[in-house]
Amino acid sequence: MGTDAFQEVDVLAMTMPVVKHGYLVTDPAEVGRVIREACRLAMSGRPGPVVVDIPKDVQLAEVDGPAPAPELCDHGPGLPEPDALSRASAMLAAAERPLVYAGGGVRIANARQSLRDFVDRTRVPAVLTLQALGSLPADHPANLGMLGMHGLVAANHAVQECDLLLVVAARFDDRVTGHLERFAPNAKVVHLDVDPAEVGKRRSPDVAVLGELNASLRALAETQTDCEAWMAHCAASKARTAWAYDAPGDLVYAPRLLRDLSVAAGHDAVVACDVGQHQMWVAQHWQLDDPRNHLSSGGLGAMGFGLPAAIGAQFAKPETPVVAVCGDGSVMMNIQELATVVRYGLPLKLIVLDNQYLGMVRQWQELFLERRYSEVDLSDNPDFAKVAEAFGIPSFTVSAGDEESGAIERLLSTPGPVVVHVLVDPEANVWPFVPPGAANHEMIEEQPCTA
Amino acid sequence: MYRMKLELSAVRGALVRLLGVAERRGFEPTSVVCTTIDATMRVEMTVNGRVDVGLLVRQLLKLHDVRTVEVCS
Repeated sequence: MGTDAFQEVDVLAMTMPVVKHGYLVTDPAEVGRVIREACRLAMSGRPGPVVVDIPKDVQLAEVDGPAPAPELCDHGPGLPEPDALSRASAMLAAAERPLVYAGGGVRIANARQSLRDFVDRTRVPAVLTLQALGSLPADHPANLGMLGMHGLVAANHAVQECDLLLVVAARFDDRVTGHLERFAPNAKVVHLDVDPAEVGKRRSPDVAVLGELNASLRALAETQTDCEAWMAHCAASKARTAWAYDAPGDLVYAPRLLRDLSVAAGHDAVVACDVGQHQMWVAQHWQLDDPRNHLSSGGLGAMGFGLPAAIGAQFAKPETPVVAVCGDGSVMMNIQELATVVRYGLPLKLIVLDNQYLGMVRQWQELFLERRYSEVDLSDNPDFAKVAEAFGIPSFTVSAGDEESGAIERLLSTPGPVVVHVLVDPEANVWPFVPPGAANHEMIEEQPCTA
Repeated sequence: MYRMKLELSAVRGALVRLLGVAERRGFEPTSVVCTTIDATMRVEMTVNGRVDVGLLVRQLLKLHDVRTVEVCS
């Protein structure tokens, strides 16, 4: 190493900023220990990728056998401090308008049921981040839906009106908070998390409860709350601002298509998406019942994520319906993976929502840059149905709203993989929309039918 | 300006990871003294930063190689 040999790069240094940890193994006898430690590290605490760089000479070296494995103990996150729980419970009991703001840590901690029990017992309404969708059933009366930049009206208004924000393993992401200083401006904050680095990173809590999430939620579920009037107010707001799904016109209406497909596919189906408008439509309209069935690149926002994620899900759950929802821009970033789908006979269904634009970027350029469109025109896309056929995958195209239900039936009843090429309105935008730098209650609520 | 003392596992990449996190989180290392004895690396580091140093401490403690972090002044 260090001689600039053929294909030599410093993998350890290259990956350092984007992984949880990295190893470079130079002693062949260390390989077993390092692999074992790396796997434990990747899956423990707050999970994350771990890189192990094994040079070629180490790969080819002969060793007597693996060294005795060291005793590795992963005690997991500790229990929450009783004093912190008491203070949090007291604040919850005193609140008139408490609100749960649940994040992706609910999924990581396997705390879905604990969150449901907490909400059912305390009658505290909840808003969910992109990564927490499914932690509560989509139709649960306390579930006000996703908050943030493309969050639901009722969810964002509840955040702005609440007097206590119970943060459940969320991280005050900028796409969630909008203008940070004006996010939940009247609320005290109780923050439950397993990661001390998240507490106070973006907003200082009044009480922090560090420790295992299920234990924290179970303890706080014993709190006697008094917020029925607030719950009724939130439920009325949710009903008043619910989606209509009645867009006029002959074109495919993507929100309706995705909602109907999710119902037809069932709660066990896994949906994976790329990044962009279609991702937000999935988040808003797919009827989720489990956060593990929703694979979406959140904070990183990595276009190209959807198809490989769906492939992984189909390997993990070969009997489960897996749907990849991609945009025409995103799907081109990893469309070669259709070869993997064919090679392994994976029965996943790929939907390409094609508006012949990088739609989300176009939307921003329309709304904030006076329609001075730059590098978003994808009208020279390939014919996706023919691309699929070239890989040996059946495909068909949907171009009108009255074809939606037939397409869903055909998609789900076709054995093996299918690619569905869906032509959607090139000018359609994702609503509602909190403009960058605005507070969440300042969202643009233009009706989808007028987009 | 904050003066910090840290104890790390003396493994490849540990010091680079430490400095990378400090810079990424908005702190400028202005002096670094590193001494390694056997499997332990002791680092005395001075950083400039305009945000709460506690945020940096909590981020550094997430690094697998970092055993202890002490803010001296």
